[in-house]
Amino acid sequence: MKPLVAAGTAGAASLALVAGLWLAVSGSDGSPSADAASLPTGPVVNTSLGLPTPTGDPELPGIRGLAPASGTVGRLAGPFDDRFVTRGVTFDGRALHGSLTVTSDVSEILALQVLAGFYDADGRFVGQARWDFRPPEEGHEEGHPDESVDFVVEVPAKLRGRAAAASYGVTNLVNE
Amino acid sequence: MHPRMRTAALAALALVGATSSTLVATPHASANADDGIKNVIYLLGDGMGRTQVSAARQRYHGADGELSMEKLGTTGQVATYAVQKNSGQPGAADFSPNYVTDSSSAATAWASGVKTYNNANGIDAKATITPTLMELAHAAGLATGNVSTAEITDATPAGQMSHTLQRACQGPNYVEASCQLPEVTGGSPLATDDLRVTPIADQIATNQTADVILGGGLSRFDAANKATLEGNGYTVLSDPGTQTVANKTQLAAVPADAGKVFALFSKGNMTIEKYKRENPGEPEAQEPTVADMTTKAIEVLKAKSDASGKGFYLQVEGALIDKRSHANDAAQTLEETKAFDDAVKVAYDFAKQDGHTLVIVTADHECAGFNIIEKGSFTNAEAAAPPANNDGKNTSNPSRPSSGAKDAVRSHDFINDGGAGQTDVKNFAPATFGTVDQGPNYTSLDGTANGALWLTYLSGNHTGADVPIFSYGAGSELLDGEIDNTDLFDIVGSALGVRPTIPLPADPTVTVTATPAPGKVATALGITGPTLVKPLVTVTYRITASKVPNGGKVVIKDNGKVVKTVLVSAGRASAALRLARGTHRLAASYAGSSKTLPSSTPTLTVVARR
Repeated sequence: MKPLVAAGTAGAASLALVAGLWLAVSGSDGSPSADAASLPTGPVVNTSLGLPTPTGDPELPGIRGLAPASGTVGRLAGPFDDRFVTRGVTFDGRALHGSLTVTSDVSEILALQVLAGFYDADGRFVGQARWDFRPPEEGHEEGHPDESVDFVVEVPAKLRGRAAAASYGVTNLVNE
Repeated sequence: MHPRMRTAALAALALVGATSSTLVATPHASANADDGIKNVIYLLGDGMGRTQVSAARQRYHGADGELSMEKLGTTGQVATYAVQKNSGQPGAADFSPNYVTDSSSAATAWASGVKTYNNANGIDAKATITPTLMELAHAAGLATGNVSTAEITDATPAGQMSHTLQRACQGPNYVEASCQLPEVTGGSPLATDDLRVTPIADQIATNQTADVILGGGLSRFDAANKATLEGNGYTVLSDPGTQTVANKTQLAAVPADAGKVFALFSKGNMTIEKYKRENPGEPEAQEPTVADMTTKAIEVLKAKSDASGKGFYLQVEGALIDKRSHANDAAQTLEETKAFDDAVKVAYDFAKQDGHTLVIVTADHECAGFNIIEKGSFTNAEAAAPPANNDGKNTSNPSRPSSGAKDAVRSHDFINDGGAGQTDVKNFAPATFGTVDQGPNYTSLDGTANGALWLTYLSGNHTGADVPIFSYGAGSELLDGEIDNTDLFDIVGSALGVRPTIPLPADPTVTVTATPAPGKVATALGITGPTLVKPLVTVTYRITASKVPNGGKVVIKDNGKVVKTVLVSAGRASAALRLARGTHRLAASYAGSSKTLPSSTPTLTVVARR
């Protein structure tokens, strides 16, 4: 059943701004009903809401000015810090390693992004990298839901040898 | 049939009879007729399968009791399957089902009438945007509300108010990995201003689809969202900029004529009732219950509806049933089901008083394979081996040499005993509970062998079982059998007047077609059965044949052509029909005899569709 046809949105891989949807009501045989005219035809959804266009993944405040001491790992505040704990977060010059346990939910993790900042020996910010959790392809893991995940944020190749300290924070977390 | 529903059904039948068209797109004013439906309150117990309902009934109302949802009068069941990414719709050559749905696919099914893949939200499986019922209702001028104990950006509420490739694209920011899904958009990511990769929080704050927005998830919103909401006329009780949540006192103070309200009571999902009850001094205890939110939502929507002369559409989700089922937390599964049922009572009480409200209570899917086992028994997960007979052809010759006995390692103490049974992660023993049948101190039996209610889980994930559906009010007649979750789009849309009207079933009241003549007895026929069926699925229609003698022939015609002849026995007959896709006008007639007069039924209009 596909009773509503959104003109201008079908095949909407490249969506143009559409002021509203023209709603064609299908009868039981799939043909348009003669009564369609009496149903709502005004705007229902727009393909753009006029919001600022994102230019990339989110930053975390303070990442550039944190200046952790060489060999240490600093922590960045994020919007979901009341939903998880981290353990064993270390930085070995090549990557940031750690484990994160969600404390607010026990259902599957759908999305999780860790943002890491990297700093030179003088505490100057030199760059950043991200790690995204990838849920299982079919959407459900076998076995009991596991809210703990290990993460690794590798130092970008161009920063190798310069990164002496790191910081990290969680920019996104969604549970099923 | 409930008496009030019968009255409403007759009124609707008369309306249909006056039009001669099956899918009658009545203007909304017609749906507001004296005996018609103006409002729909659609309540979802997330993850609430049949066992969750039965167990909550037994726990809190006893074996002979009823939950409020079970008092609604009409009961059916809903198939919930999803489809794979890029699948066509059922019947299409590229249709590819997925038997176990998630909440977003299920929400899209009832909100937009299409099957989609797990993780999709307000789009079909090929990423085409599909308008939702709440959008249609809003566009038609109805008041709209969306209530959830989850984050308001979570799958169920989001399914009515947003369109995203991934349900995880919730906000407050665009995150490529959570928002894009190139495998359904031709291999390339979409432009970042495309609606389908716009964070759900931004969509909700901007599109005004719901007038009343109550729930959790303040962390998904930011200061810009607050400004947008206030600019659109919302009373904003919670401040996304400072992440200050609202509370139940503030909610109670919202005036009925507020019009538009945005109030989130927690940063994430709302808090389970048990924690609030046991920690009255904690901030979480100031969160309203789902019943509190439903009460206020109805109050505000009713006032707005009265002012506009149009109806309202309210969706309410009891989300924590699913959250606790994932955790195999039977105690909270039961308590959250009860809390949800309290919200159902609010809606039901309103509908009984209002007389123009259809109440629907259902679920998106079952969660975790919840089961009630007999007291003293055990499950396969507790056994050293499954039962011996796995050869259905010859049960006297077991294909395994021994039967399953309980394994003391896999099962020792009840998992809700507060001790060893609870802490051993490899313990598969059931959770046990007392019930009201066991006396006023029944909760003291929880976690003991004396509890009458023994509960187990199959897994920590969703299952593919059909879910129950309960309903009250005119239109509930369409929900008393097996339906697909996508059918709810048309059924609810019909009740709201934003989709073509689906005629209600004919009343079984017989039609007398002739005045008694000397020596002949008047007869009368009636025909009843579902008016919304799946194509080529056998459905039984029942014939009442007053005064027709045993063996009397009743002819069934479909669109004027004879399709079946059945014989009357004890004043009744039945006809099993397989109807092709399309509209069917069924009528039964009796030709009479030397002793009886002929009679026929009114036309019963039936729609057969996927």
